[in-house]
Amino acid sequence: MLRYLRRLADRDFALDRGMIPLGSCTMKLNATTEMEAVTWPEFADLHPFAPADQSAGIRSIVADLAGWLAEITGYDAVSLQPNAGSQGEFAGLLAIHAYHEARNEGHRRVCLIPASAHGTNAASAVMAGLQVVVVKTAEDGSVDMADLRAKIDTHRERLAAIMVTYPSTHGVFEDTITELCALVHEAGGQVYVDGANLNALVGLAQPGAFGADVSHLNLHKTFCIPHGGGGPGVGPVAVRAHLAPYLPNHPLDPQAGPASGVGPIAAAPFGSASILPISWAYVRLMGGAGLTRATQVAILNANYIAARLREHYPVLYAGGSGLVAHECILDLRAITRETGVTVDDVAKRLIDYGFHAPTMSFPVAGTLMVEPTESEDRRELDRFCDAMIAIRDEIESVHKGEVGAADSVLRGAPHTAYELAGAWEHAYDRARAAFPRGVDPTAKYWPPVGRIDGAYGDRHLVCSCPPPEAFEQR
Amino acid sequence: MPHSAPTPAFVARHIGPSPADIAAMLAVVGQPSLEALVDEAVPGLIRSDRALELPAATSESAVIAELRAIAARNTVVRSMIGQGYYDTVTPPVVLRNVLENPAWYTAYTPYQPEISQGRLEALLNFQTVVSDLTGLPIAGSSLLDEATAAAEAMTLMRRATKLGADAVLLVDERVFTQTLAVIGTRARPLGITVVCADLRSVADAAGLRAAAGDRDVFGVLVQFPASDGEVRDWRALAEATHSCGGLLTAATDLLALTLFTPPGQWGADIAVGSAQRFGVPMGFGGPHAGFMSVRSGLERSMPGRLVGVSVDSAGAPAYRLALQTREQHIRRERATSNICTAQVLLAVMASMYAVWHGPDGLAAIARRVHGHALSLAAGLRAGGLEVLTETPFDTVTVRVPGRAASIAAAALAGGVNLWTPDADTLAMSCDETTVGSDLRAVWAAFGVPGTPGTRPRTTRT
Repeated sequence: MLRYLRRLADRDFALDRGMIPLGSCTMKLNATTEMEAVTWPEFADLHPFAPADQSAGIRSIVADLAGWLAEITGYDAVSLQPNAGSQGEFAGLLAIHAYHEARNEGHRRVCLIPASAHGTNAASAVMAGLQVVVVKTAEDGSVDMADLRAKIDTHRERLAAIMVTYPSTHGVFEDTITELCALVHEAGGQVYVDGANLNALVGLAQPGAFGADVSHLNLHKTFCIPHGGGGPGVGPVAVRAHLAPYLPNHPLDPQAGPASGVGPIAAAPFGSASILPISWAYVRLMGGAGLTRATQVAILNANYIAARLREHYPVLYAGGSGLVAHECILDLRAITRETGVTVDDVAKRLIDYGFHAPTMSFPVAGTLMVEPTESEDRRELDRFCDAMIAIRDEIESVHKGEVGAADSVLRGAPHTAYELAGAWEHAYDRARAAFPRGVDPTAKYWPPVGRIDGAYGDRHLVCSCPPPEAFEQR
Repeated sequence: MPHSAPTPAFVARHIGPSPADIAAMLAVVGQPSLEALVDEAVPGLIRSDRALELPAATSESAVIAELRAIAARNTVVRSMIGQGYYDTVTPPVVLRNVLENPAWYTAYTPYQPEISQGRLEALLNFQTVVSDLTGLPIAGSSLLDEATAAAEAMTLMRRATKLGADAVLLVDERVFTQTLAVIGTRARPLGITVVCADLRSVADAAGLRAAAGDRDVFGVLVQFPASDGEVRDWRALAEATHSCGGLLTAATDLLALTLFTPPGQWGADIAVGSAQRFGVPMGFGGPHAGFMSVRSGLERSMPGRLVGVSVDSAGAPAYRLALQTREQHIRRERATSNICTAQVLLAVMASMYAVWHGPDGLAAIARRVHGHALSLAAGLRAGGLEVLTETPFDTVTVRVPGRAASIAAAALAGGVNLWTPDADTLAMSCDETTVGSDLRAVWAAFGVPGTPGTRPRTTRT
């Protein structure tokens, strides 16, 4: 069994091997000390509906963390019940709707969402019974203020809220955010700031102070809960005082939220309570000054990558100062047009260099969004930049016509060890395929499979374990 | 941060670049200092001008000591509360090599499938286990918890049926309290009417409509086994639901399904639940992997992530996320759900628990749990108590007019938490960790001698 688990783990690339520079996902490193308490029986073996006096310890973790998150975000009240960011969004929108209803304005059902928003925003708004109206995004990635004014005018009487991400999903600190908040408030709407990018704000700015009414945070991004391969997450919802009566509550635990709340949005009163000690420990270890410095360095790391890569790949949407926030978008569209080399090719080629690809084609199709976080050191940042520059050289040889895109080392990526041992029909040699410039031969990550044909699987849907015979051909 | 203040050791470790590197990197960026960089990058209008008022940073060993002290304020009591959360033994090989292993816990969502084959295989195992045990062909790779999975089933049934907008969701009153409450939260903004009723005697279309207040029913939700512990035969209800054009969801328990007829075989279209008791600690409520499986034909409108098998460039089998075009990041406001994060780490743990025990091992655990529940009920009946659960799996409900609180207090004094649904009723659930002394503690709390013939193991393993 141990060998089976080891075999599976060895196939995967996680943060324990190297940087996962995913824009909007904040894959920061998770200290082992932060993880320790999760499996202690005093936290692990508590039943959520046990008498409250048996859980005084974990309840104090909940209270501390809620208070600290309120201080960090500038809001007045925080619910830790949502067990994913999407659920935090949903809870925030429910609070907004309940607030309007309490003021006899339940007809306010229009939710403005910028075209550049994460898709989850729109899906959550629909779940909350709101009607999505899309606001245009200007060329520089920011909310089109003229279109915003027009949409507010059109929907003024029915305006419930706007959902914006700050800094924007394009990684830009828009200086129009306070004006945006004022315009929406003046029309009777509420401002929802998606906290996906809070890692660029902690210690520097507070959404609850600069005009927003509600945000959800992602403890699995900003506050060190690891991603777990795609969960668990924790998506607390933070609100200003006027929305606090409408936070989630729970029928089996009066301490879980206000009696006037919108009901539970997760099964357990405090959601994914057993992983809250991770974020508690992170804040406790960093302190206010440490968290602020982490934000500064997150911004530095992103700008360092942008500065090193700018001459090789266009960097989209820098702010007026020429700086980005905590992530940067590398524009491959012209390269794809001129050479046929796609974002997918670059992402898969990065695997040969020993990296997880950045976020692909979000928020702009044909681009890569890079977020290094504060916890990657300069050597790792340089290793990534060097790989991207080496890949740019590989693209250049396609550009020069030395090799066609379809026959290039980029399209052949990622390269498996098994493939290297077999008949070799590529135009490039094996060493170039598997050990490109900068790859340490003693620390090589080998992908277990070559590039996967996703569409084939959707046409021939198989969603349980295939019989062993399916693997015989290997 | 003032330059004079020494950086705490942990802060210096968490933040990657050293002060010297920061200086060099600032030069590349063209800024004289971090403060200048931030002043230039972040609009002054939104800047906060005061330092965060948080407790001062402390060391790793001091934080562990603080957490130990906080942990000591929790009291772990043998739980027989049940209601969706059961004590379980996490196989040490899974605890150490999955839950406590950064190779598993620091991985990202498997959007880059070529470098995610390990967890994709583990998730495919999870889907296979859920699909096999529920008797439904397509299972997703986890949802957030049982209650939200049930709410997702509600909207799935709404989408998949053609009944009018005024058709209702009909919920049996013996579903878990938290599940019904979350469904209420999710139904309200969508304008879905939820009717909660006793569905035990519904046997035909007329009975179904009557239970729904003479309205169409797009979906039915039952708990199997129910919150009162009863393993009921819902075949007639399923047939009645289908005859009216509706669908039926069973909120169910994977361990029970190793012994009882899977929902897919008695007419359920959808199964949901929590895989918690497959080796994932209760953790004061989470995180755990919720699950959903569906009958064929519903897979393309199923919410959440689905792992499937495809082929790689060499034609070899390879795993990746299937049918992603359903997901919110692509379909936005037309998405089937806003589910984004799932519960991969916990689904991996549950799948490995199943691999560790194998089908026979799981059934053996279930038989042991079932045996404890039967002897618990027999002992209470022998003592003259009114046991309401006739066919339990693991949970026994007892009627004790006016005495529920005092008996629960006596049980607690004996080291066991029971569940008190109301002043006249107590419920208790057995699980993988239940031993004979737990049953004796319960019997003692009720003031009955128990079943003398039953001598389950007396020591906890």
